[in-house]
Amino acid sequence: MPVAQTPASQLPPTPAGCADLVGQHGPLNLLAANEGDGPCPPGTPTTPAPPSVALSSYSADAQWGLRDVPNANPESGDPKLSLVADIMQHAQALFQEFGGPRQFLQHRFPDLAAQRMFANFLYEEYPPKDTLLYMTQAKAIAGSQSQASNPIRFAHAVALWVSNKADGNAPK
Amino acid sequence: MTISKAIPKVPTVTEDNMGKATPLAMHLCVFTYHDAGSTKPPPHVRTSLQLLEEYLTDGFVTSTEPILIKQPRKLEDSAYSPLAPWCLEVQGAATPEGQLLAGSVGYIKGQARVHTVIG
Repeated sequence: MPVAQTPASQLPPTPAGCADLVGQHGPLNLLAANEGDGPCPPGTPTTPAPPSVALSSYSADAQWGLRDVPNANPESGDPKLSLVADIMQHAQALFQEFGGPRQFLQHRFPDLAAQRMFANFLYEEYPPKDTLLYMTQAKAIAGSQSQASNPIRFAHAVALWVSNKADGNAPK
Repeated sequence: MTISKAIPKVPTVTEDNMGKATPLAMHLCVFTYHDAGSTKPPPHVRTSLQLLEEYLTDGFVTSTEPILIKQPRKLEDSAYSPLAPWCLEVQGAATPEGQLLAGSVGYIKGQARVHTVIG
């Protein structure tokens, strides 16, 4: 499948909104540090999207990882790499405490209000821009402090619903 | 507010046509972490950490191996899945026809990948 490369500089900035209400952390820190927060208040800015966003045709994707970042040498003691280590350490602690990411998410967002907050967070923090899938560790590493606090960016996964029937009533 | 049977289906693909079908781009907030989302057990901690390390190193890519999804009937009810952010903002807390609820899409293959990236 074709892969379109989009420079990190073209990626959308982190919008104001729900994420700002819960801290200046990346998703893992944010989720862990805000136990008990309620849903985003009314009027929280969001990025409107037409229906076609959720079900848009896949066209391409792009991604970045540490290997795409110039001078991201693990041996150099680059502080940007410590960010990754911090994320791993944090994830390990959370996943081990709860038994895995699914259990953690269920614990952290147990009801509809919390699930809605989380959906808002994902949507605000990682707004759909187009059909690109991206994860810009590169942006965090190359960017400002605010960008570095939000190292993981992604918008879409691509998916197929495989079914025995064309009408989708009996997924395999 | 409970809205039932208002949720659209993602177009389905038969197994024979998988190689020909074009995957859909879906925002990650449509994926579920409800138990009803998969018949498989939750991804193991070790698996998730390995995936996360891979994401942080090489990024999260699903283009060459799309997430295979299903839409469990249970999750099509807004009693289980919240309205999507775009519904709230654009449509005034109604689920417009043609929209998915947030957290309404389950997995046939790819649960660990998605749970790890959103967790």
